[in-house]
Amino acid sequence: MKSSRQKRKVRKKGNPWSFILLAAAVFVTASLASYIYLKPKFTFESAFISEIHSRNKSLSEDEEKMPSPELYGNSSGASSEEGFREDAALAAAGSVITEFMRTYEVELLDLYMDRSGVIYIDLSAGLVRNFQGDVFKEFNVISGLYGKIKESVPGFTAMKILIQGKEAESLAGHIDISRPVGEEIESAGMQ
Amino acid sequence: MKKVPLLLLLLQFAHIAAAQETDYLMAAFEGDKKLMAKSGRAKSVVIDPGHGGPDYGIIKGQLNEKGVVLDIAKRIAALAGRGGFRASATRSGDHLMSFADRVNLSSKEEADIFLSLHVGNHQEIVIYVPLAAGPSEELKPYLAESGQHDYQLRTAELLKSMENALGKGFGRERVIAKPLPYSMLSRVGAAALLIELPSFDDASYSSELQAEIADAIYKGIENYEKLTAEKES
Repeated sequence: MKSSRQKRKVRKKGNPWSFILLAAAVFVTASLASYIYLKPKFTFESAFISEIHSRNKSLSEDEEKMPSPELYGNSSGASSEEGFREDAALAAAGSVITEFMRTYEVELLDLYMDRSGVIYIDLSAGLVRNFQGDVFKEFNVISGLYGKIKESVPGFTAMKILIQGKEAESLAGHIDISRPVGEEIESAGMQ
Repeated sequence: MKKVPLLLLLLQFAHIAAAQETDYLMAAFEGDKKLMAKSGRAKSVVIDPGHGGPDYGIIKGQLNEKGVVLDIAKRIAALAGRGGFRASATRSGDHLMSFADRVNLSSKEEADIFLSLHVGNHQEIVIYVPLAAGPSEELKPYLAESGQHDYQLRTAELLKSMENALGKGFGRERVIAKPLPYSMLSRVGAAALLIELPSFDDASYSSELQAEIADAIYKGIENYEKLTAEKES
């Protein structure tokens, strides 16, 4: 004869997994049903969210419409008058650089000026390939270019020379152009 | 009991103040410290033959700058090695090295003297002195990395020694010194000069002449060593 305690143990041995699976299935079904049923009832139009959406859309459209910043700079954020002045200054710089580099059969590929007045000049690779000169000649090309830009571009502080869109260490192995070239190039007394 | 935290706080302040003062003094004597650490051992001379690989430098007939300066650099390194210096060259063969690699090698070798060799388009021997600092605001962040900053006095002494030695060898009127901004040398933490030799039109660069040039430059190194040894002793 089994005692009442043993009978309780036997009853407890029934598989609990079937109960857990059933409960989970009921829970998932109930959640899905309530989501599908309740979603349209709680949807509302938020004026704030609509405003954010429309602003984001117009911003991305403006970015697409904006001219490439590589060509004669990027005037975004500035007033139209400031933008016009920047573009005019860069156009002037572009023509003096093109004129100056013609002697070396070098093409000006791109031009960009940042807010601190540093002008980025992208030149064709011909300058490095064909340039044969000593320290003085290399120095003269760089300081001459700096001087010409300074004459024609107000607010110009320094120039960074790129070759074929990439940073270059030097034109001919003497002058370090890996950093922007500033007014020291004129005050060095190399002449 | 209340006095204990107060005492701890006071000690903390005293510690911070002492540390700040030490930092200030350390920074002030950083340049001298570096030089003092280097004294008492054989001076390290790094010779930097310019150009290399696809960059020939100046070419005239069979002569090219990269080959001539490499040959002279090897001769100087050999003389310096025999003279008790630790001598090395940034390149020992025909390959191009970036400015950064040349500067890194000078740091690795703990250079006391760094000499960059080139050939120019002139009759004279031009010695270029790196300018380590300038006035414009835009360049200050870049110049802060300048290795020359602590060595300008040493560079001036090396210039004096080199001018005397090359002047004795080739005539004083043929040796000119010029400042050079935007040079790789401004990143070198050693007495550093760029020596630009006469053009291929003005010098034959025969084996004898190359030996003479190497000898004169080595004498400049010796002069500098004597000058600094006197100051250090």
